[in-house]
Amino acid sequence: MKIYVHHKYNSEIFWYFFHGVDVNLDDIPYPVLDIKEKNININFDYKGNKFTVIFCDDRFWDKKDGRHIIDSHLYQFQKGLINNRGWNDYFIHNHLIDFNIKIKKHSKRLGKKLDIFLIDWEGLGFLEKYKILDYQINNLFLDEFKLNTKYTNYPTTQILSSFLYTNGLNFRDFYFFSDFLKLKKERDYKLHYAVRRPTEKKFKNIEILDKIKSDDFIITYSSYVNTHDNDDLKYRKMAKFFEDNIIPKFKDTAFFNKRKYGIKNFGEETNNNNTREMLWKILPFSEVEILDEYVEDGFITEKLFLRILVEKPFIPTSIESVKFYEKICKNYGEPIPSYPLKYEKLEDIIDTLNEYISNDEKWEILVKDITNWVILLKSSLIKILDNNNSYLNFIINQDINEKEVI
Amino acid sequence: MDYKLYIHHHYSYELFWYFCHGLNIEPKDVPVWFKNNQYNKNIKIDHDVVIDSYYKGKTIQVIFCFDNHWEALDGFHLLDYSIRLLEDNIVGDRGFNATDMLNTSNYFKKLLNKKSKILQNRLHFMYIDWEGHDAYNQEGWSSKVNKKVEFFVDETYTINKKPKNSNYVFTNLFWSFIYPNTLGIRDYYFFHDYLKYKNDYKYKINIPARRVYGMKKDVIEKVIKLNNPYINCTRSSFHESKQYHLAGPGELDISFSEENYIQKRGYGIHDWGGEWNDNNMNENMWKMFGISEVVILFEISAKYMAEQALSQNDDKIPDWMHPGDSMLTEKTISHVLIGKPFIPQHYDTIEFLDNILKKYNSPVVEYPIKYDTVEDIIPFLDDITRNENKWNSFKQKLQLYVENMRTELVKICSNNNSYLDLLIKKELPNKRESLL
Repeated sequence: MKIYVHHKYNSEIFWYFFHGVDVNLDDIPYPVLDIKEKNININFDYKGNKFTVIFCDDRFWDKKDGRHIIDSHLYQFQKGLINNRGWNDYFIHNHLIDFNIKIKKHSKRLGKKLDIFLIDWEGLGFLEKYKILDYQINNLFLDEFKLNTKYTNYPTTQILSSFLYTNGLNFRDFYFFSDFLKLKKERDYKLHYAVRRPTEKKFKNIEILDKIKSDDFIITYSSYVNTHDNDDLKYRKMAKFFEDNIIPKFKDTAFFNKRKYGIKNFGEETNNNNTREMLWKILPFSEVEILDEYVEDGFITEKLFLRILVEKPFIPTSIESVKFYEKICKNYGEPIPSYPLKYEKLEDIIDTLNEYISNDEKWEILVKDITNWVILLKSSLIKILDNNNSYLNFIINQDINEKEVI
Repeated sequence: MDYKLYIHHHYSYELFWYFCHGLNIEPKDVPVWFKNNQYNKNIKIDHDVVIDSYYKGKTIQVIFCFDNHWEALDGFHLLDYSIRLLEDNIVGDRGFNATDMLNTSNYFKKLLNKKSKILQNRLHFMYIDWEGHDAYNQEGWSSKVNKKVEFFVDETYTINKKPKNSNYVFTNLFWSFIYPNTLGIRDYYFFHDYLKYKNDYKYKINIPARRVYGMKKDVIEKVIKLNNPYINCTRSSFHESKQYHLAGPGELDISFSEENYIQKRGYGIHDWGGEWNDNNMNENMWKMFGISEVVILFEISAKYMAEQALSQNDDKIPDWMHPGDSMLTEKTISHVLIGKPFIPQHYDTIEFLDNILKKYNSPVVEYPIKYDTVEDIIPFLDDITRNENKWNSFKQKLQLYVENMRTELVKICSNNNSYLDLLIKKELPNKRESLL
């Protein structure tokens, strides 16, 4: 089976799309001169099927002897429109229009042989919002599982691998940092809830978490809030409310200041700088973190996945996030024990957290149990990525279905 | 305003710290983003960015102006070789490449000669390459560039005579490893806080070699013969990489065990990619620091290189190379930033670092052993690693040394700026002289 990948080659993109395959590592080129001109062919096996992928950038759109892949983020990235794998609502509309013009030239002709990836970690539901892609014509691989499921596919392993490749945000470092983070035993606090960008959801969480009465618990905020580098009036209003009404109630040590002198300056609020700040400053701050995730809205972000990679114990504000990852393990036959806390919503566990945080023995057991759960989850997810590929599963199944129809 | 400095690069806060560290400025007054690059840091800032500040009692106005204001005679003009290559996408990171240098030197020679016709000694060229070769002579800057252009370099002098217009800038060299952070070396500074807790090392000493040749090969051969279980040698798959222009397994002639063969090509998340500087530094940080308590570091010694060059030992130093002095590479800096005890190949690395501290009146911790080259102390290391008490005492002294060096170098380089120290001693030529 042939797959034409319409991006400039690099080995990271190979792993992003084609993890889980049986490939000779020597067949994956690293330095490639004249990438603009050269097509890169790589052969591999997957579940008894032989594949040849051809990284051909903007060439070979007319080929009918295989499938064609294009990824909206890689397209923007390789055009220089964005500077990393992270996403930004401020220009996505224009970029998608540009992307759509590109796709339209080929979408009708290629039909179901064109596979489009739109993995944005945001879940804004732009298909509804912008109505710009004829997604019924082609195969759309989306990281939103509550949206248009009739016409879209949820490529689980590609969504997980999108956090690792391309490694523009250095998320891969979190995997290796786990060996060292655990060596540093002393933490400033037992439990931590960090607010970077104030939102209504976080205000509600703060109100609930305010019932945890312990010196070992802290809610922090970032210098982001007063940089005012956000054009959204609604956001500005919210940030002002946050500054005027909520921050004054925080502890004195609640401020993460990004702007320091020289080597300690973590720069501006771009995704890669924020991730570095998180790696070196946020992770070691507490033993356990309370984290927002967006599974209930139909998508996941990097927030939980990074803590899983780095083996940092966390408590999601909704149990749905735990269920989401446990379901992935179950689907791929990887064992995972039950998460140590039973709850549905954040408010359900406030009493438990109050009880545990004030009792060192109980707290230690809880931290140990959550840590073990996270370590096993990490191991299972990496195994899943090393042995499975959602996109290739889709192709194989589609081919089988087509043959059956014939 | 006492001094005006036109920096001919696109502004970024990382370049600000590289060029302008030591300035008396509040971090919040250092811009980090502008409207047009708010959401994409790769968008280059083309407009002027003006920052007023103080340095050692002098007022300085810094103007980041990329290719504008070359005609301005009311200040000094600074152009940096490596940063321009980075801005022009000729290099992928801050590391240096001799092949690029051969291709790009002519362009810079022409540019400097053209601009210096008007600017005269207002024109400053920073050439920091981490390579230890005296490019000023080797690449013909000395004979082909207007002698009024001032050079700011990371080698003090050479086997040739030190040129008058070549200035050594240590703090800028130090910051060149940190900003722009294209190689992730800044992360080593923060990694220090975690690595210091590691206490389950498999070996007491490791001797890592990426490219096994010359003196490295001699040392490794001698150490392997010791059959000392506490001293280990590792090598990288780099030698077989097609990306390495001298690739080939045949030359090594030393057998390494499987676990000591640092394989870059793993599956998926364990794939460290190509032999680019950033991939290598990332692999170095996560894989190499957990092997041993102490590292033998193959840092280059200019003194040794000069000796080899003078004795025309082409096996060790190519005959076309002009070694410089007082140079330092990412090898030492990364170990200092991370606080890892190290024994450099040549003792003059220690002398060099100590002299920097002395120059700035910083406290110096005595290095626990004196030697010329590491080959001289192989028997000593063999003995001491077999004696637990002696080893612990020795290791502790090495640790104290590197911790002090880390703290003091960061302090020195946050409070001083070698380039600005030279700048504030300079006077602008009068305009008539320039125009004539």
